[in-house]
Amino acid sequence: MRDEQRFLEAMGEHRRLVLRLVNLYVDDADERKDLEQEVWLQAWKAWPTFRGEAKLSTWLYRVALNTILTLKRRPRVVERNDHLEQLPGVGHDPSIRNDDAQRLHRALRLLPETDRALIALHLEGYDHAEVGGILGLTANHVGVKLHRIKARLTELLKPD
Amino acid sequence: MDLRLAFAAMVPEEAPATAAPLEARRLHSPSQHPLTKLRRALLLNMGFAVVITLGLLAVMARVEHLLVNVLLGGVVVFNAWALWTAHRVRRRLPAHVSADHALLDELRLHADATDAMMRMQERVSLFVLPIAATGGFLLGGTASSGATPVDLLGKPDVLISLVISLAVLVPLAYLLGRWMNRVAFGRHVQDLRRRIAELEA
Repeated sequence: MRDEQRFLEAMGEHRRLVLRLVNLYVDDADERKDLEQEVWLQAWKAWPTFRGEAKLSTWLYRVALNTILTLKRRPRVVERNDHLEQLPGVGHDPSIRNDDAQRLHRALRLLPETDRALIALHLEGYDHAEVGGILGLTANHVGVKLHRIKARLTELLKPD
Repeated sequence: MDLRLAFAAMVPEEAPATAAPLEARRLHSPSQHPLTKLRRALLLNMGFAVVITLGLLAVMARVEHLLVNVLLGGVVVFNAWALWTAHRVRRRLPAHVSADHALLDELRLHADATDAMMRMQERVSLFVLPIAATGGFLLGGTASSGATPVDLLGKPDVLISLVISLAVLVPLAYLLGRWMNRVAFGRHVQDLRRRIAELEA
């Protein structure tokens, strides 16, 4: 029981991290709740394996990404396009009030799923080796992919 | 635009405080993860296999015809094999998502485990269905006519009916099972393989 309480407190501190990640993969509010719930469930089951060797946030990122990307999700058609303005509804999240954050969110939703994970880790401040460790790629590979993703993001975020 | 600041602002600072806090009861609700569903489905399969095997043994104890008993015995043996195979596949399936594996390894593990489960079920059905269908046909025939299985099989029209039943029912049931597997997990495996390819690209 005490362990459960400790877990809930520790996770409460990192809730924004999970929410940010979940928001990158689903738009629907109910689906988000379900996905967040699943991440916490899986984290709780894996909790006994947390030995404190990595930072809790890194450990949680690993569980969250492993859960989100191995889950079955409803198929969704995401159009590929060069400008966000041409896709007014795609990825729009009314809960995001900051304009830049809204634009970035919409642009990220247009990237392939694993690219979203990679750029999210980068934007959280992880270096290439750490990102590679979480995703199972070499640091060099991460660098190459990141370069491509940034180019695509620049293209998407470019004003018309 | 500062991407890091924009990224951080994607979830407002006040979100954790205003949204429903984490509750202990949430940690005990059933998981919707495919791994859990697969493990549950395999356990259910194993349960059914045990019940059916017990039923077959009860029928075998009542039926006196050797041929029917041999065929039913065949189904029992294959059921036991299917049970053991399901148990082996289930043991290989992790109980939860790993925090130790990198994403690429985890995706491979899930895709391979789901593939293995589908292949196992299809292979088992291919062996069990013909024997089960023949056993059922002979059991029904002997029960309704009172004739022995040897007498039944001695009649050309019965023999032709049996062959036609097998030729139609076995592939049909096999294809139906395969289709149901594809509907339930095919798209999921495709998604997992696509994500693996994306990561490796």
